[in-house]
Amino acid sequence: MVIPLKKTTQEGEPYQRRTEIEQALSALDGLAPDQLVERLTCTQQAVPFEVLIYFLRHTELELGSRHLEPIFCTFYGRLEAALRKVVSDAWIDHAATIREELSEQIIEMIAKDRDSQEEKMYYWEVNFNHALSSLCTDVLRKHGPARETDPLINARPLTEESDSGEEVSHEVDIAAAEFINPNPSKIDDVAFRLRLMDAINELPEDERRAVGLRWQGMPIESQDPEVETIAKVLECTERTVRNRLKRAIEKLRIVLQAEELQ
Amino acid sequence: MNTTPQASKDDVLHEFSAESNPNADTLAKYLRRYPQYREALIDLSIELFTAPKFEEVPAEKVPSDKSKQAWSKFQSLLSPTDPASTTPLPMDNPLSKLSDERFRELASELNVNRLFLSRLRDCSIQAATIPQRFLSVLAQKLTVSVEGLKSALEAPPTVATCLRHKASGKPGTGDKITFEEALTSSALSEAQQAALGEMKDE
Repeated sequence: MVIPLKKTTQEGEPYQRRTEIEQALSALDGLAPDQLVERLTCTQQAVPFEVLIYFLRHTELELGSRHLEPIFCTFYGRLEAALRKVVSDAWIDHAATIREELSEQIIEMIAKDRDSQEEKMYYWEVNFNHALSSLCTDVLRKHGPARETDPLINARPLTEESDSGEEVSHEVDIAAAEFINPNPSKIDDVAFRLRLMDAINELPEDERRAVGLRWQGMPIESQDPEVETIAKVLECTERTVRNRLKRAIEKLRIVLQAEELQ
Repeated sequence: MNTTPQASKDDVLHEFSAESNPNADTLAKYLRRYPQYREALIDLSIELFTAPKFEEVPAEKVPSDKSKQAWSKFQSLLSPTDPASTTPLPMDNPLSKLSDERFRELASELNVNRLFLSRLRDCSIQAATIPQRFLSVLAQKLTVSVEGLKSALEAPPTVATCLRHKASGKPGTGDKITFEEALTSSALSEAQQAALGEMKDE
């Protein structure tokens, strides 16, 4: 049986992992340890990180060192590769030291978690990408996120706050379309995406929410009263949304241009 | 979406983060259902949407020296009761807890005689020389882990292995015989010896 998460809702129901993770764990449940190791360390069909975390975290699975070591080494190799993308030498000073600190921190967390009845790492089994990127963000903030020459630090908004100023409707739509549908190979690039995510996180709250919702595909406006729009969920006018988007996109474009120069 | 509209903020945010496809439509559903957590849901949706996808990072085929070092560090942090710890707490010898009847049955299931099984029980055989396959079968029959069984059998011998050391003075804890020697000196039939011999590690 797959071990349920110990964390429960206020009704006492265990928290669920993502459906695909629960399915992957069910498919591996009951395998003999040797077969399990073979499957988890297979490089052709790599299992999600959440699955590796599950087998590393739970002492109840009774995996001895002979079986846990190859699973751990597979996890560590993939973690190192992921961290090289997140904490890129191209963007961050002392990147290697920060990567080392991050991997050590994660290993210590798992080791402590194995000996604990608490559910400190449950979220790593639910959404590893989010858990790792949040930890990286915290650690990078502690170190100071970027170089002094980082274009974002020197960025100045090209348009000052003005929710009722110039006509921005058409211009923003074009800019948003360009921004939201950039070169697909670029947006799939982890380093670029992380840089962009950092840039979005550094935007003022109102701009961050407008651009974040637009990027997810939420329309700015709609004739259909049933459709959720950015204006509706942010409780402001469509013009305000467009102004926020315009300011945000101008700042983000600096990042896009800087990346283009790399 | 299984939580009730009165669900706690943590529960709702957890459920959203466990959605397989948390896009604008999913967000819209949650916002309609939980308007009280509007801002937190919007912020979470943006974080999830912008988080990089690490699953695509290729795995390396051969574990690096660095990952082996990391494993040693990890193992050293584990509690002694952890099944993967460097120094697992010695398990009580599972063979010495068996009833006479079960002991006889086990010998027959393993296709060995009672003398051979007694030598295993008394830790008279060097654990490192016991084939992995034999250990696995024995561990399975005893419903214990292979590592635990192996560490239990590594204990000092409880009975002197006098068969081999008849003339060499008083036997001590280091006087264990190899698995191979146990095969030939335990009055096993040739067929039994051959079957056990086939289990030898490559």
